[in-house]
Amino acid sequence: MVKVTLKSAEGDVFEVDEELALESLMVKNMIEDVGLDSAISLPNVSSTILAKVIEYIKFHMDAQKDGSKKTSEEIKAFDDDFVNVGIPTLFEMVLASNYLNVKSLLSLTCNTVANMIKTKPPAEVKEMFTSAKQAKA
Amino acid sequence: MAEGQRREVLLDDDTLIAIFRLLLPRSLARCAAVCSQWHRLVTSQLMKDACSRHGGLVYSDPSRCKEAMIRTEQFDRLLKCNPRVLSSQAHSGRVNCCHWSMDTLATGSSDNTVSVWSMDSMQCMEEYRVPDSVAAVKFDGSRIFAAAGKDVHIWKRGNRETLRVLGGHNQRLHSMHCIDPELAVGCADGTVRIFDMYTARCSMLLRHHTEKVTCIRSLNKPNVLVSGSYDCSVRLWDPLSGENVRSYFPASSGISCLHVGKDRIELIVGTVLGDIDCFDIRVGGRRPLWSRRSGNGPINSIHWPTYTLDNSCMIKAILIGGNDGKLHLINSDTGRTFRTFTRESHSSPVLSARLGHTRFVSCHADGTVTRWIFDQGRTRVGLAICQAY
Repeated sequence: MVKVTLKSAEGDVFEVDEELALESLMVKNMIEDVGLDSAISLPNVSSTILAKVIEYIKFHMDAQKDGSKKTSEEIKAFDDDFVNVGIPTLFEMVLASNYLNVKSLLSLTCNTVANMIKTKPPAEVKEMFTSAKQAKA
Repeated sequence: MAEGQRREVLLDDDTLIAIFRLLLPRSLARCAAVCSQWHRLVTSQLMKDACSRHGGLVYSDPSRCKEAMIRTEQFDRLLKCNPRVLSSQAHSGRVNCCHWSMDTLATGSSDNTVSVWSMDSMQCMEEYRVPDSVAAVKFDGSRIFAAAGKDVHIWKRGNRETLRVLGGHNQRLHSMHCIDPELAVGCADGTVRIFDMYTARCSMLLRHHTEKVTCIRSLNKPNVLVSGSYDCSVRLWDPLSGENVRSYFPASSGISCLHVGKDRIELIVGTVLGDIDCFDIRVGGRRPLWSRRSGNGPINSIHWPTYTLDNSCMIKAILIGGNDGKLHLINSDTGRTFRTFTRESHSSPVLSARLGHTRFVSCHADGTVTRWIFDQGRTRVGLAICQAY
């Protein structure tokens, strides 16, 4: 199995299967452009977020494989648990999945944010977004 | 300022649009009110493209999202917050009528004066004396119209010069309506007279009512005039031909006031017995869309503001005031009461009332003018509330 080396913003190196890395359209394009020899640098994604994204892709790839015993309930439970994080982390995941171009993760995280917004009045939404900013700063 | 700059949202436009297109129009309207960046996004062509491309979301008119949002919040406040109630003695006699636009309030009273007030400070800016009790008052940017006794007085605002007195009716006037360049008055003998306000010539005499005409309103499109009388009928006129196009017969009691919104089909009629009927203006006859019986004495005032350009942001509330001194905010669809307001100290019949977005004003028989201001306390916005009724 061919391995792909991904380098996060902090410089941490992640070695993943090529098959897994190709789930990200952005990484796929990079591989097509520069080949597999050098590490693929992802300056916009931090180590923690990259680890999360890899975890997500891995789980879903396993779930889709033939002979997988995971039920749709289990997958849903994993997804719910996966996005049950703090707002700053969630936003970073939205940005990372947008940057890495992972469609399924982007729609999952966007849906989560949309669900959070849709029942709140503007003042609370504003608070939610500004607190995310301040927590990061 | 540094604080303000740090308060930027974290997500970029692309991801925000990706999120927004998952939302329903109602939530989008809320989002448009969060900050200017979001408003721009929600209303942008980009957003429209994103929506049409994905085909998921249909929302009527994104440019009105913010307005709809604000209206809802103001309406919510009208229903839930406690108003600041400010009463002031405006006249020594009954305050029969008022007209309110922006910060200017004009009142006409039985003490033979017409006064113009600043709505914010309740300071008297102009005062005009007439020989008789004032039954109706209207103003525009440059003129003030008042029906007093048997004459209509027109003054130029500012220098208080009398422009014209339309007289010679030989009948007491009970109502007036201005549709530049015409002016319609309702007389005690049941006639409606239409004058040209520049030449003071009576251009039309509409005789169909048998008792005094207590209220006149008009619609711009189509150009019609609606009048209500003590003979228990409401009539719709074509002011050009003078033809009685349609008639409405609410109940077996005299009509004390009526209201018809701009470009609306609902005709709201109040009677001296305290009943309110809502008719479809396109259908004459005796069958109202809804009725509301209270039996608390005459309804003196009905006001349903139509400030917005179209109906999408219209609030569904009508303000009515009656002889029992109470002000009711009622639902324009069903006639059910949203909320009732009463002055705590001394109740006095409400003779005229006007509803605004964040405040309303009521004129009373004891000469006071009361302002009800809803500027305190932010409530949780809920279109759910509007729908609950």
